[in-house]
Amino acid sequence: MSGDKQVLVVDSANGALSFVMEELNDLGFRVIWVPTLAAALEFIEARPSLSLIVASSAATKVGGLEFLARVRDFAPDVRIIWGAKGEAPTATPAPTNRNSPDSLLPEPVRPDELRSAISELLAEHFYPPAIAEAVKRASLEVLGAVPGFQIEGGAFLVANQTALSDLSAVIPFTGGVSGHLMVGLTNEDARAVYQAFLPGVRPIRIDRMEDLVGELCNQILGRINAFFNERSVSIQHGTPIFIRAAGSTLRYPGRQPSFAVTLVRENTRVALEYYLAHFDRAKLQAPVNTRVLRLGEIRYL
Amino acid sequence: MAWSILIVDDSSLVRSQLRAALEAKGAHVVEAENGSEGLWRARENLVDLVIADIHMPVMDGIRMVEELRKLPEYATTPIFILTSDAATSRADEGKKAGANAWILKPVKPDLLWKAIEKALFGRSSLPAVQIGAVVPPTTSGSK
Repeated sequence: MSGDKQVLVVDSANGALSFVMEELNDLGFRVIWVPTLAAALEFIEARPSLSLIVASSAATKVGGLEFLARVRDFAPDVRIIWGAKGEAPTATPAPTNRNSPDSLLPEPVRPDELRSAISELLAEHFYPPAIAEAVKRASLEVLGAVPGFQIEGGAFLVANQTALSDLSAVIPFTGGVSGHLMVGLTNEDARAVYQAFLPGVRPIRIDRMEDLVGELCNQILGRINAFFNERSVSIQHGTPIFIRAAGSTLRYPGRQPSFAVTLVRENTRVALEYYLAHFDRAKLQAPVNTRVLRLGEIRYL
Repeated sequence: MAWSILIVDDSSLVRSQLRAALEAKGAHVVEAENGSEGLWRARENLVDLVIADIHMPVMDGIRMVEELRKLPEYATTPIFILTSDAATSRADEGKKAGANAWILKPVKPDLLWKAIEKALFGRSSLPAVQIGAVVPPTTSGSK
Protein backbone atom coordinates (compact mmCIF):
# COMPACT_ATOMS: atom_id res chain seq x y z
CA MET A 1 0.00 0.00 0.00
CA SER A 2 1.08 3.60 -0.38
CA GLY A 3 3.20 5.20 2.29
CA ASP A 4 1.24 8.44 2.49
CA LYS A 5 -1.64 7.22 4.62
CA GLN A 6 -1.30 10.07 7.06
CA VAL A 7 -4.17 12.24 8.21
CA LEU A 8 -4.06 15.50 10.06
CA VAL A 9 -7.00 16.13 12.38
CA VAL A 10 -7.48 19.72 13.47
CA ASP A 11 -9.73 19.79 16.49
CA SER A 12 -10.12 21.79 19.66
CA ALA A 13 -8.95 20.27 22.89
CA ASN A 14 -12.43 19.09 23.90
CA GLY A 15 -12.17 16.44 21.18
CA ALA A 16 -15.35 16.70 19.07
CA LEU A 17 -13.59 14.63 16.42
CA SER A 18 -12.18 11.95 18.72
CA PHE A 19 -14.37 9.26 17.15
CA VAL A 20 -13.21 10.47 13.73
CA MET A 21 -9.67 9.68 14.76
CA GLU A 22 -10.74 6.19 15.77
CA GLU A 23 -12.50 5.69 12.44
CA LEU A 24 -9.46 6.86 10.51
CA ASN A 25 -7.26 4.61 12.55
CA ASP A 26 -9.54 1.68 11.69
CA LEU A 27 -9.22 2.58 8.01
CA GLY A 28 -5.46 2.19 8.28
CA PHE A 29 -4.40 5.84 8.51
CA ARG A 30 -1.76 7.23 10.80
CA VAL A 31 -3.58 10.02 12.59
CA ILE A 32 -1.91 13.21 13.77
CA TRP A 33 -3.88 15.58 15.95
CA VAL A 34 -3.27 19.30 16.36
CA PRO A 35 -5.53 21.69 18.32
CA THR A 36 -5.31 24.82 16.16
CA LEU A 37 -5.00 25.96 12.56
CA ALA A 38 -1.70 27.60 13.42
CA ALA A 39 -0.29 24.30 14.61
CA ALA A 40 -1.71 22.60 11.53
CA LEU A 41 0.00 25.12 9.24
CA GLU A 42 3.27 24.64 11.04
CA PHE A 43 2.96 20.90 10.46
CA ILE A 44 2.03 21.27 6.79
CA GLU A 45 4.82 23.71 6.04
CA ALA A 46 7.27 20.96 6.94
CA ARG A 47 5.86 19.23 3.84
CA PRO A 48 4.96 15.89 5.37
CA SER A 49 3.47 13.10 3.31
CA LEU A 50 -0.21 13.72 3.90
CA SER A 51 -3.43 12.36 2.41
CA LEU A 52 -6.16 14.18 4.24
CA ILE A 53 -7.00 16.97 6.63
CA VAL A 54 -10.13 16.79 8.77
CA ALA A 55 -10.90 20.02 10.58
CA SER A 56 -13.65 20.74 13.10
CA SER A 57 -15.65 23.93 13.12
CA ALA A 58 -14.41 24.63 16.63
CA ALA A 59 -10.87 24.83 15.36
CA THR A 60 -11.66 26.77 12.19
CA LYS A 61 -13.74 29.68 13.46
CA VAL A 62 -11.02 32.19 12.72
CA GLY A 63 -8.62 32.17 9.79
CA GLY A 64 -10.20 29.30 7.92
CA LEU A 65 -9.93 30.81 4.45
CA GLU A 66 -6.32 31.80 4.94
CA PHE A 67 -5.57 28.32 6.19
CA LEU A 68 -7.13 26.73 3.13
CA ALA A 69 -5.16 28.97 0.79
CA ARG A 70 -1.91 28.14 2.57
CA VAL A 71 -2.64 24.42 2.47
CA ARG A 72 -3.30 24.59 -1.27
CA ASP A 73 0.03 26.34 -1.72
CA PHE A 74 2.05 23.81 0.25
CA ALA A 75 0.11 20.64 -0.42
CA PRO A 76 -2.17 21.04 -3.44
CA ASP A 77 -3.03 17.34 -3.57
CA VAL A 78 -4.11 16.92 0.01
CA ARG A 79 -7.86 16.50 0.45
CA ILE A 80 -9.76 18.50 3.06
CA ILE A 81 -12.90 17.65 5.00
CA TRP A 82 -14.31 20.59 6.86
CA GLY A 83 -16.71 20.38 9.77
CA ALA A 84 -19.56 22.88 9.53
CA LYS A 85 -21.69 23.58 12.58
CA GLY A 86 -25.21 24.77 11.77
CA GLU A 87 -24.16 25.80 8.29
CA ALA A 88 -24.72 22.73 6.18
CA PRO A 89 -27.78 20.54 6.73
CA THR A 90 -26.29 17.55 4.93
CA ALA A 91 -22.94 16.46 3.60
CA THR A 92 -22.01 18.80 0.80
CA PRO A 93 -19.99 17.93 -2.27
CA ALA A 94 -16.79 19.72 -3.02
CA PRO A 95 -17.14 23.36 -3.99
CA THR A 96 -15.22 24.35 -7.08
CA ASN A 97 -13.20 27.19 -5.59
CA ARG A 98 -9.52 26.26 -5.27
CA ASN A 99 -9.46 27.52 -1.71
CA SER A 100 -12.54 25.60 -0.65
CA PRO A 101 -12.54 22.34 1.27
CA ASP A 102 -13.23 19.20 -0.76
CA SER A 103 -16.11 18.19 1.45
CA LEU A 104 -18.25 19.92 4.05
CA LEU A 105 -19.71 17.77 6.79
CA PRO A 106 -22.36 18.97 9.23
CA GLU A 107 -21.38 18.66 12.86
CA PRO A 108 -21.73 16.59 14.87
CA VAL A 109 -20.19 14.42 12.19
CA ARG A 110 -22.01 11.15 11.57
CA PRO A 111 -19.79 8.08 11.07
CA ASP A 112 -21.54 7.00 7.85
CA GLU A 113 -21.18 10.46 6.33
CA LEU A 114 -17.55 10.60 7.31
CA ARG A 115 -16.85 7.19 5.76
CA SER A 116 -18.67 8.21 2.62
CA ALA A 117 -16.68 11.44 2.33
CA ILE A 118 -13.38 9.66 2.93
CA SER A 119 -14.34 7.01 0.44
CA GLU A 120 -15.03 9.54 -2.30
CA LEU A 121 -11.96 11.61 -1.59
CA LEU A 122 -9.43 8.92 -0.88
CA ALA A 123 -10.47 5.72 -2.55
CA GLU A 124 -7.68 6.09 -5.05
CA HIS A 125 -5.14 6.14 -2.23
CA PHE A 126 -6.03 2.54 -1.50
CA TYR A 127 -7.58 1.27 -4.68
CA PRO A 128 -6.93 3.07 -7.92
CA PRO A 129 -10.15 3.42 -9.89
CA ALA A 130 -8.95 0.85 -12.42
CA ILE A 131 -8.82 -1.83 -9.71
CA ALA A 132 -12.19 -0.80 -8.35
CA GLU A 133 -13.65 -1.12 -11.83
CA ALA A 134 -11.97 -4.49 -12.33
CA VAL A 135 -13.54 -5.82 -9.13
CA LYS A 136 -16.98 -4.59 -10.12
CA ARG A 137 -16.67 -5.88 -13.68
CA ALA A 138 -15.46 -9.29 -12.50
CA SER A 139 -18.41 -9.59 -10.13
CA LEU A 140 -20.90 -8.73 -12.81
CA GLU A 141 -19.30 -11.07 -15.35
CA VAL A 142 -19.57 -14.05 -13.04
CA LEU A 143 -22.98 -13.27 -11.61
CA GLY A 144 -24.13 -12.26 -15.08
CA ALA A 145 -25.06 -15.90 -15.62
CA VAL A 146 -28.07 -14.91 -13.53
CA PRO A 147 -29.59 -11.87 -15.29
CA GLY A 148 -30.49 -8.88 -13.22
CA PHE A 149 -27.62 -8.48 -10.77
CA GLN A 150 -26.47 -4.90 -10.30
CA ILE A 151 -23.88 -3.12 -8.20
CA GLU A 152 -25.63 -1.35 -5.36
CA GLY A 153 -24.39 2.04 -4.27
CA GLY A 154 -21.00 1.75 -5.89
CA ALA A 155 -18.05 0.49 -3.96
CA PHE A 156 -16.46 2.05 -0.96
CA LEU A 157 -13.89 1.76 1.75
CA VAL A 158 -15.41 0.17 4.76
CA ALA A 159 -14.43 0.10 8.38
CA ASN A 160 -16.11 -2.30 10.80
CA GLN A 161 -17.92 -4.05 8.00
CA THR A 162 -17.19 -7.28 6.20
CA ALA A 163 -18.57 -9.68 3.63
CA LEU A 164 -18.68 -12.30 6.38
CA SER A 165 -22.18 -13.74 6.45
CA ASP A 166 -24.02 -16.99 7.17
CA LEU A 167 -22.01 -18.64 4.41
CA SER A 168 -18.71 -17.14 3.33
CA ALA A 169 -15.68 -18.18 1.36
CA VAL A 170 -12.31 -16.50 1.35
CA ILE A 171 -9.40 -17.06 -1.02
CA PRO A 172 -6.03 -15.56 -0.09
CA PHE A 173 -3.68 -14.77 -2.95
CA THR A 174 0.01 -13.98 -3.20
CA GLY A 175 2.53 -13.04 -5.85
CA GLY A 176 2.75 -9.69 -7.61
CA VAL A 177 -0.20 -8.63 -5.46
CA SER A 178 -1.33 -10.15 -2.19
CA GLY A 179 -4.54 -10.01 -0.23
CA HIS A 180 -7.81 -11.86 -0.19
CA LEU A 181 -11.26 -11.95 -1.72
CA MET A 182 -14.22 -12.87 0.47
CA VAL A 183 -17.73 -13.57 -0.78
CA GLY A 184 -20.59 -13.88 1.68
CA LEU A 185 -24.28 -14.66 1.44
CA THR A 186 -27.03 -15.32 3.92
CA ASN A 187 -28.51 -18.82 3.80
CA GLU A 188 -31.63 -17.46 2.16
CA ASP A 189 -29.72 -15.55 -0.50
CA ALA A 190 -27.43 -18.51 -1.19
CA ARG A 191 -30.48 -20.70 -1.76
CA ALA A 192 -31.95 -18.13 -4.17
CA VAL A 193 -28.73 -17.80 -6.18
CA TYR A 194 -28.28 -21.58 -6.28
CA GLN A 195 -31.79 -22.02 -7.65
CA ALA A 196 -31.05 -19.37 -10.26
CA PHE A 197 -27.83 -21.11 -11.32
CA LEU A 198 -29.21 -24.60 -11.23
CA PRO A 199 -33.00 -24.68 -11.41
CA GLY A 200 -34.81 -27.79 -10.36
CA VAL A 201 -32.29 -29.17 -7.89
CA ARG A 202 -33.95 -30.12 -4.60
CA PRO A 203 -33.15 -30.13 -1.79
CA ILE A 204 -30.40 -27.54 -1.70
CA ARG A 205 -28.28 -28.75 1.18
CA ILE A 206 -26.02 -26.41 3.10
CA ASP A 207 -22.88 -27.99 1.64
CA ARG A 208 -24.17 -27.24 -1.85
CA MET A 209 -24.80 -23.61 -0.91
CA GLU A 210 -21.34 -23.44 0.63
CA ASP A 211 -19.92 -24.82 -2.59
CA LEU A 212 -21.78 -22.13 -4.54
CA VAL A 213 -20.22 -19.37 -2.43
CA GLY A 214 -16.77 -20.90 -2.88
CA GLU A 215 -17.19 -21.18 -6.64
CA LEU A 216 -18.40 -17.59 -6.93
CA CYS A 217 -15.34 -16.49 -4.96
CA ASN A 218 -13.06 -18.58 -7.17
CA GLN A 219 -14.51 -17.35 -10.46
CA ILE A 220 -14.68 -13.70 -9.46
CA LEU A 221 -11.09 -13.77 -8.20
CA GLY A 222 -10.04 -15.34 -11.49
CA ARG A 223 -11.62 -12.48 -13.41
CA ILE A 224 -10.02 -9.87 -11.11
CA ASN A 225 -6.65 -11.56 -11.49
CA ALA A 226 -6.97 -11.30 -15.27
CA PHE A 227 -6.80 -7.52 -14.83
CA PHE A 228 -3.38 -7.91 -13.17
CA ASN A 229 -2.26 -10.68 -15.52
CA GLU A 230 -2.72 -8.25 -18.41
CA ARG A 231 -0.13 -6.06 -16.73
CA SER A 232 2.30 -8.97 -16.37
CA VAL A 233 1.57 -9.39 -12.67
CA SER A 234 1.41 -13.05 -11.75
CA ILE A 235 -0.78 -14.19 -8.88
CA GLN A 236 -1.05 -17.52 -7.12
CA HIS A 237 -4.05 -18.66 -5.17
CA GLY A 238 -5.47 -21.86 -3.81
CA THR A 239 -8.91 -23.24 -3.12
CA PRO A 240 -11.60 -21.43 -1.07
CA ILE A 241 -11.63 -21.51 2.71
CA PHE A 242 -15.20 -21.83 3.92
CA ILE A 243 -16.57 -20.00 6.92
CA ARG A 244 -19.95 -20.65 8.43
CA ALA A 245 -20.85 -17.73 10.67
CA ALA A 246 -24.60 -17.71 11.03
CA GLY A 247 -25.94 -14.21 11.59
CA SER A 248 -22.45 -12.81 11.94
CA THR A 249 -21.82 -9.10 11.72
CA LEU A 250 -18.28 -9.47 12.96
CA ARG A 251 -15.60 -7.54 11.17
CA TYR A 252 -12.66 -9.29 9.63
CA PRO A 253 -9.98 -8.03 12.02
CA GLY A 254 -6.78 -6.63 10.69
CA ARG A 255 -8.02 -6.54 7.14
CA GLN A 256 -9.04 -2.94 6.78
CA PRO A 257 -9.60 -1.08 4.65
CA SER A 258 -11.32 -3.32 2.19
CA PHE A 259 -12.96 -2.56 -1.09
CA ALA A 260 -16.55 -3.63 -0.59
CA VAL A 261 -19.05 -4.35 -3.31
CA THR A 262 -22.62 -5.51 -2.91
CA LEU A 263 -24.45 -7.05 -5.84
CA VAL A 264 -28.19 -7.02 -5.68
CA ARG A 265 -30.91 -8.79 -7.63
CA GLU A 266 -34.40 -8.16 -6.34
CA ASN A 267 -34.07 -9.10 -2.65
CA THR A 268 -30.93 -11.18 -3.08
CA ARG A 269 -27.60 -9.74 -2.00
CA VAL A 270 -24.07 -10.98 -2.63
CA ALA A 271 -21.37 -9.25 -0.57
CA LEU A 272 -17.75 -9.01 -1.68
CA GLU A 273 -14.73 -7.82 0.24
CA TYR A 274 -11.51 -7.34 -1.71
CA TYR A 275 -8.46 -6.61 0.35
CA LEU A 276 -5.06 -5.76 -1.06
CA ALA A 277 -2.20 -5.97 1.40
CA HIS A 278 0.38 -5.17 -1.21
CA PHE A 279 0.54 -4.14 -4.84
CA ASP A 280 2.93 -2.24 -7.04
CA ARG A 281 1.25 0.94 -8.20
CA ALA A 282 3.86 1.42 -10.92
CA LYS A 283 2.62 -1.74 -12.62
CA LEU A 284 -0.81 -0.19 -12.99
CA GLN A 285 0.63 2.74 -14.91
CA ALA A 286 2.10 0.42 -17.50
CA PRO A 287 0.02 -0.27 -20.59
CA VAL A 288 -1.67 -3.61 -20.98
CA ASN A 289 1.08 -5.79 -22.39
CA THR A 290 0.11 -9.40 -21.79
CA ARG A 291 -2.63 -11.25 -23.54
CA VAL A 292 -5.16 -12.98 -21.32
CA LEU A 293 -8.17 -15.02 -22.24
CA ARG A 294 -11.48 -13.23 -22.48
CA LEU A 295 -14.67 -14.61 -21.10
CA GLY A 296 -16.34 -16.82 -23.67
CA GLU A 297 -13.05 -17.42 -25.48
CA ILE A 298 -11.64 -20.88 -26.00
CA ARG A 299 -7.95 -21.25 -26.57
CA TYR A 300 -7.01 -24.38 -28.47
CA LEU A 301 -3.59 -25.52 -27.36
CA MET B 1 -24.08 -44.87 -28.46
CA ALA B 2 -23.44 -41.56 -26.67
CA TRP B 3 -20.19 -39.79 -26.06
CA SER B 4 -18.81 -40.35 -22.61
CA ILE B 5 -17.40 -37.27 -20.87
CA LEU B 6 -15.49 -37.09 -17.59
CA ILE B 7 -15.94 -33.91 -15.54
CA VAL B 8 -13.29 -33.31 -12.89
CA ASP B 9 -14.03 -30.36 -10.62
CA ASP B 10 -14.10 -29.92 -6.86
CA SER B 11 -17.21 -27.75 -7.15
CA SER B 12 -20.42 -29.78 -7.06
CA LEU B 13 -22.19 -26.74 -8.56
CA VAL B 14 -19.96 -26.76 -11.63
CA ARG B 15 -20.24 -30.52 -12.00
CA SER B 16 -24.02 -30.34 -11.73
CA GLN B 17 -24.23 -27.47 -14.24
CA LEU B 18 -22.04 -29.30 -16.73
CA ARG B 19 -23.85 -32.59 -16.20
CA ALA B 20 -27.20 -30.94 -16.89
CA ALA B 21 -25.89 -29.21 -20.02
CA LEU B 22 -24.08 -32.25 -21.43
CA GLU B 23 -26.79 -34.79 -20.65
CA ALA B 24 -29.25 -32.51 -22.41
CA LYS B 25 -27.10 -33.04 -25.51
CA GLY B 26 -27.11 -36.79 -25.06
CA ALA B 27 -23.71 -37.26 -23.48
CA HIS B 28 -22.99 -39.79 -20.77
CA VAL B 29 -21.33 -38.01 -17.85
CA VAL B 30 -18.87 -39.34 -15.30
CA GLU B 31 -17.85 -37.11 -12.38
CA ALA B 32 -14.82 -36.80 -10.14
CA GLU B 33 -14.05 -34.33 -7.36
CA ASN B 34 -10.30 -34.02 -7.78
CA GLY B 35 -7.44 -35.07 -10.01
CA SER B 36 -6.75 -38.28 -8.15
CA GLU B 37 -10.35 -39.44 -8.38
CA GLY B 38 -10.39 -38.23 -11.99
CA LEU B 39 -7.53 -40.57 -12.87
CA TRP B 40 -9.29 -43.44 -11.20
CA ARG B 41 -12.60 -42.71 -12.97
CA ALA B 42 -10.82 -42.36 -16.29
CA ARG B 43 -9.22 -45.77 -15.91
CA GLU B 44 -12.52 -47.29 -14.86
CA ASN B 45 -14.68 -45.68 -17.55
CA LEU B 46 -12.51 -45.07 -20.64
CA VAL B 47 -14.19 -41.79 -21.62
CA ASP B 48 -14.17 -39.92 -24.95
CA LEU B 49 -13.37 -36.49 -23.56
CA VAL B 50 -12.20 -35.00 -20.26
CA ILE B 51 -13.09 -31.58 -18.81
CA ALA B 52 -10.95 -30.69 -15.81
CA ASP B 53 -10.57 -27.79 -13.40
CA ILE B 54 -7.09 -26.77 -12.24
CA HIS B 55 -7.36 -25.70 -8.63
CA MET B 56 -8.46 -28.82 -6.81
CA PRO B 57 -7.44 -30.49 -3.57
CA VAL B 58 -5.51 -33.78 -3.47
CA MET B 59 -4.30 -33.52 -7.08
CA ASP B 60 -4.60 -30.46 -9.31
CA GLY B 61 -5.81 -30.55 -12.90
CA ILE B 62 -2.44 -29.98 -14.57
CA ARG B 63 -0.90 -32.94 -12.75
CA MET B 64 -3.92 -35.08 -13.59
CA VAL B 65 -3.56 -34.26 -17.29
CA GLU B 66 0.12 -35.18 -17.18
CA GLU B 67 -0.73 -38.50 -15.57
CA LEU B 68 -3.60 -39.18 -17.99
CA ARG B 69 -1.34 -38.65 -20.99
CA LYS B 70 0.97 -41.35 -19.68
CA LEU B 71 -1.85 -43.87 -20.15
CA PRO B 72 -1.82 -45.27 -23.71
CA GLU B 73 -5.64 -45.24 -23.90
CA TYR B 74 -5.64 -41.49 -23.22
CA ALA B 75 -2.79 -40.51 -25.51
CA THR B 76 -5.10 -38.71 -27.96
CA THR B 77 -8.29 -38.19 -25.95
CA PRO B 78 -9.37 -34.51 -26.02
CA ILE B 79 -8.79 -32.87 -22.64
CA PHE B 80 -10.23 -29.44 -21.87
CA ILE B 81 -9.15 -27.32 -18.95
CA LEU B 82 -12.10 -25.38 -17.56
CA THR B 83 -10.76 -22.83 -15.13
CA SER B 84 -11.12 -19.32 -13.73
CA ASP B 85 -7.44 -18.67 -14.55
CA ALA B 86 -7.11 -16.42 -17.62
CA ALA B 87 -3.32 -16.13 -17.62
CA THR B 88 -1.82 -17.34 -20.88
CA SER B 89 1.24 -18.55 -18.97
CA ARG B 90 -1.01 -21.00 -17.14
CA ALA B 91 -2.53 -22.05 -20.44
CA ASP B 92 0.98 -22.81 -21.64
CA GLU B 93 1.42 -25.07 -18.62
CA GLY B 94 -1.76 -26.83 -19.65
CA LYS B 95 -0.46 -27.28 -23.16
CA LYS B 96 2.81 -28.70 -21.87
CA ALA B 97 0.86 -31.15 -19.70
CA GLY B 98 -1.08 -32.29 -22.75
CA ALA B 99 -4.39 -30.40 -22.61
CA ASN B 100 -6.10 -29.51 -25.90
CA ALA B 101 -8.10 -26.44 -24.93
CA TRP B 102 -8.28 -23.79 -22.24
CA ILE B 103 -11.73 -22.49 -21.36
CA LEU B 104 -12.63 -19.80 -18.87
CA LYS B 105 -15.31 -20.13 -16.23
CA PRO B 106 -18.12 -19.30 -16.30
CA VAL B 107 -18.66 -20.92 -19.69
CA LYS B 108 -21.88 -20.84 -21.63
CA PRO B 109 -23.12 -24.39 -22.26
CA ASP B 110 -23.59 -23.81 -26.00
CA LEU B 111 -20.03 -22.56 -26.37
CA LEU B 112 -18.69 -25.56 -24.50
CA TRP B 113 -20.76 -27.95 -26.57
CA LYS B 114 -19.44 -26.46 -29.80
CA ALA B 115 -15.90 -27.03 -28.58
CA ILE B 116 -16.75 -30.60 -27.62
CA GLU B 117 -18.27 -31.25 -31.05
CA LYS B 118 -15.23 -29.79 -32.73
CA ALA B 119 -12.92 -32.00 -30.71
CA LEU B 120 -14.95 -35.18 -31.10
CA PHE B 121 -15.98 -34.84 -34.74
CA GLY B 122 -12.29 -34.73 -35.54
CA ARG B 123 -11.97 -38.25 -34.22
CA SER B 124 -13.22 -40.48 -36.97
CA SER B 125 -13.17 -43.59 -34.81
CA LEU B 126 -15.83 -42.19 -32.53
CA PRO B 127 -19.55 -42.41 -33.08
CA ALA B 128 -21.20 -39.06 -33.64
CA VAL B 129 -24.47 -38.24 -31.99
CA GLN B 130 -26.78 -35.85 -33.78
CA ILE B 131 -27.68 -32.92 -31.62
CA GLY B 132 -31.23 -33.34 -30.41
CA ALA B 133 -31.32 -37.03 -31.33
CA VAL B 134 -32.79 -39.49 -28.90
CA VAL B 135 -29.90 -41.24 -27.28
CA PRO B 136 -30.24 -44.71 -25.77
CA PRO B 137 -28.84 -45.29 -22.29
CA THR B 138 -25.15 -46.09 -22.23
CA THR B 139 -23.33 -48.87 -20.53
CA SER B 140 -20.47 -48.03 -18.23
CA GLY B 141 -17.09 -47.91 -19.92
CA SER B 142 -18.51 -48.04 -23.47
CA LYS B 143 -16.97 -46.07 -26.29
